Amino acid sequence: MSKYIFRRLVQLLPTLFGISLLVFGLMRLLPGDVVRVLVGPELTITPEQRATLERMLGLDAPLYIQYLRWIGGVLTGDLGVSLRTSQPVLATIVQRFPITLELSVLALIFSWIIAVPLGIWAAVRRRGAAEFTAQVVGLIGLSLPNFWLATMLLLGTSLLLRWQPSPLWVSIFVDPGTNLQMMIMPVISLSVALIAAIMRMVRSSMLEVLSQDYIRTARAKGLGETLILSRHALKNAFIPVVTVMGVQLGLLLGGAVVIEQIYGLPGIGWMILNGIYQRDYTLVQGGVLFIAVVFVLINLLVDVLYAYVDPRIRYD
Amino acid sequence: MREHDSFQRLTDDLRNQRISRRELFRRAALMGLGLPAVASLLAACAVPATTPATAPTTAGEAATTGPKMGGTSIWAAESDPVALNPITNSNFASTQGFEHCYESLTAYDAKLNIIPSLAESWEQPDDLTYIFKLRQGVKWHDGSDFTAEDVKYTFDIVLDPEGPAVWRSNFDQVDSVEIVDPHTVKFTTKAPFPPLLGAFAILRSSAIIKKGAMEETNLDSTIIGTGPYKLIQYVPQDVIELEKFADYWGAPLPYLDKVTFKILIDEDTRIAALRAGQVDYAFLTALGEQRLAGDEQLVLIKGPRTFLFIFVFNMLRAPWSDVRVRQAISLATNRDELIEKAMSGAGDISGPIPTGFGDWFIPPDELREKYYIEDLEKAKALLAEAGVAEGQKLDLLVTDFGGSGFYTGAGVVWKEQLARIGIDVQIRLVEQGVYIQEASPDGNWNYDVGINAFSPRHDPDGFVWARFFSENPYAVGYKNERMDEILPAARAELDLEKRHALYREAQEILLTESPMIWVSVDNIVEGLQPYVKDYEQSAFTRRSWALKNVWLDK
Repeated sequence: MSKYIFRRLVQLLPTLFGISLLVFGLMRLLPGDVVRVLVGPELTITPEQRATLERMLGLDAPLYIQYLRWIGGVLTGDLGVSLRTSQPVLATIVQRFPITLELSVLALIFSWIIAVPLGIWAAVRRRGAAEFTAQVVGLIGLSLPNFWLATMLLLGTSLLLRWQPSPLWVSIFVDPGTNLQMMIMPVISLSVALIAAIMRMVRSSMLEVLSQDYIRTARAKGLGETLILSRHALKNAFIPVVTVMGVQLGLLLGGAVVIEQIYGLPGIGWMILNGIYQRDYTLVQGGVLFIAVVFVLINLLVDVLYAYVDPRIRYD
Repeated sequence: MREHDSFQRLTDDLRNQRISRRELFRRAALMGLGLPAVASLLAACAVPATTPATAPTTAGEAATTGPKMGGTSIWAAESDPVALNPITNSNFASTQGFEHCYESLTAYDAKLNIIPSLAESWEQPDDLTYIFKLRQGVKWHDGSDFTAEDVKYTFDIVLDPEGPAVWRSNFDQVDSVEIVDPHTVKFTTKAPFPPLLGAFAILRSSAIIKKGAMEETNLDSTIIGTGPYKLIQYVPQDVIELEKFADYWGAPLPYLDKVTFKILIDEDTRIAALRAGQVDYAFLTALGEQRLAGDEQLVLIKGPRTFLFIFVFNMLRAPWSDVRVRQAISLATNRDELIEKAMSGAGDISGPIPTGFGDWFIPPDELREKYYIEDLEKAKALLAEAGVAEGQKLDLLVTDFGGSGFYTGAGVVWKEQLARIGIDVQIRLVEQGVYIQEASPDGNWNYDVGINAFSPRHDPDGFVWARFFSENPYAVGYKNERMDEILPAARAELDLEKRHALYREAQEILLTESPMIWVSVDNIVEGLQPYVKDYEQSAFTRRSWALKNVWLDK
């Protein structure tokens, strides 16, 4: 297993190299450059002024030199500085990422707590209220735009309850109460779609497992339903669910940009998006690379988790 | 040689009734004071008054209902400064971020009068020379002393034709800056230059930075300034944390100990936070006004904003180079409908100089009467005369610059309006960076018309010079010989009456030739908690004056 993990980590390098080339190239292909954005839509600068600004931003070298400088820094752990704020990219990411991470993890946990029992119930009961609830929840969750829900929650809490959480971010380690208060509405907004997706996955997976021969055998042997569920069905049903979850966590970590923006959460998704608007090359490059690493690591984690969930899976 | 003059002497003479009104105007013009300043001077000299920079209560009142010192406050900011470098940033949001920490030689009060700031007084020995007496005892946030060296250092960077000052054009008539002594600076201009004093106050590439700051500090995210507040930290897209500067020259101001600007881009979030009492201030639009109407626990202040919304023609392209085509389009543009639909009615029609800007603008009534007349038949006739066929396409470049729904809404309304004269508007909604590129020399002016807005300018010149003086790149093909005479003359004319006449003529020409469609200025709404006292709204949406003078009654 450890050899497998090591092999996967080594594979990370060419992946990251490819991504670095891609993001570097794509950012430079965007119309409008950082100097033009800096200057804005109504000012003129002379070519000499442009040259000065480019020099200040490190953009005066040929493209391949800029790339090599950057990637050289990356290999030593230095992701450069933001072209707009001159703050170190890595420090900015490290400041932003925990916010998105916390939001994503809480959203997933919250969704799990609701979706899994719901999905199991819908699979086991199969008819009537359970089926109906499952369908409705599934439909609403997948159709409801999360930004609409976010705004509704905002207006609802402020109008009806005259309450809002503190607008100033505090870490969960510093002040868990305030932090969790701030997270309630964003988590709910993100969870609605997640709950629907997870619930449907759990339900369909459970249905398939419950129709397997070995379940019938267990029943024939006289095992109680609860025991069948907990000992045999759940673990098997969860393999596809774990996959879905891994993908979702990755997507969430890419940043629920709109939710972050609406609730004023300075997360990494909003950081990258704004960086694109500002043509902040180093910030976007660093941010995307970081997300890529995280995503690959999550996938690795999911694959390792498989090995525990499903003994048939071996990685030697 | 003209007599030496100073602000001090002028106020003295006025108070002692030694000069006539006409003389007042002449001397005021020499000092670059606009009419609002003169009006307030007249008002101020009628009663014994305190100068604006000291505490607002007079001695008699202090005992009972004086402002309270202290307190912390959270304010909701509507846009992210992105970076706080006062030299290289062009965006208005950046100024709104650093305006509480940096100062310049002059400043604006809430009524947009130019008042002394780091320069205590100034005089003009002749038309081309300004001697600024710098305020003494001013400290930088790091404890060192402010001197003329800092001013020289700053303006060496700003005036450098190869330097990074993006708003250098505001000072393009300045020839040199010299240190006379540690507290006196001399500015020499190439021609008489009335916009100079306002160019300091507007804080665009004009904030004074400490000598050596560009090389030694990170100007993008740290500030060493002289202003009433020190920057504790700036977290992009998150917060701007400010703390009272104890050694501020305007002490005991400011009243507040700590102010945190929380950046909330979404208006609904600001509304929710305001309603729940989590923020003490929020910038709102017509949307916010609707939502909060009738809320008795909040104070809403509404007023005009000097933001001029425009449609910009690319006159390098046919048929927009033909004045008849542009006139036709102006005749078919219903500005009131645009205000109604794209701005929720919260605006006022305007000409080339924004309605409400001092007394330089042509009043809306006159605009309606003479220039903004809807006449579709005449429009069609003009188009036919110019040889424009029915169904002529118009590439309309649009992006959402934020802060108003006008940009995206107006395109749709305008499309319908122009369809009535047979012009087919094709709306091209792009991302901001793309817009800036396409509507610039870098992008080869790739558009027919663009929707844009003028942010506040320090001088009427700011609304016309860059765009309508034919040698400037952003004139985009506009050339009118009379304009090419008027504009340089107007920006060098010290006599206020003559200056007014020149800009009046300029506006008339512009309204006739329509190189742009000027639509309107808009209104802003600012929401406050009732315990925030002495907040004064500024039509420039500049909050430096307000934040210096507010106090919390709790």
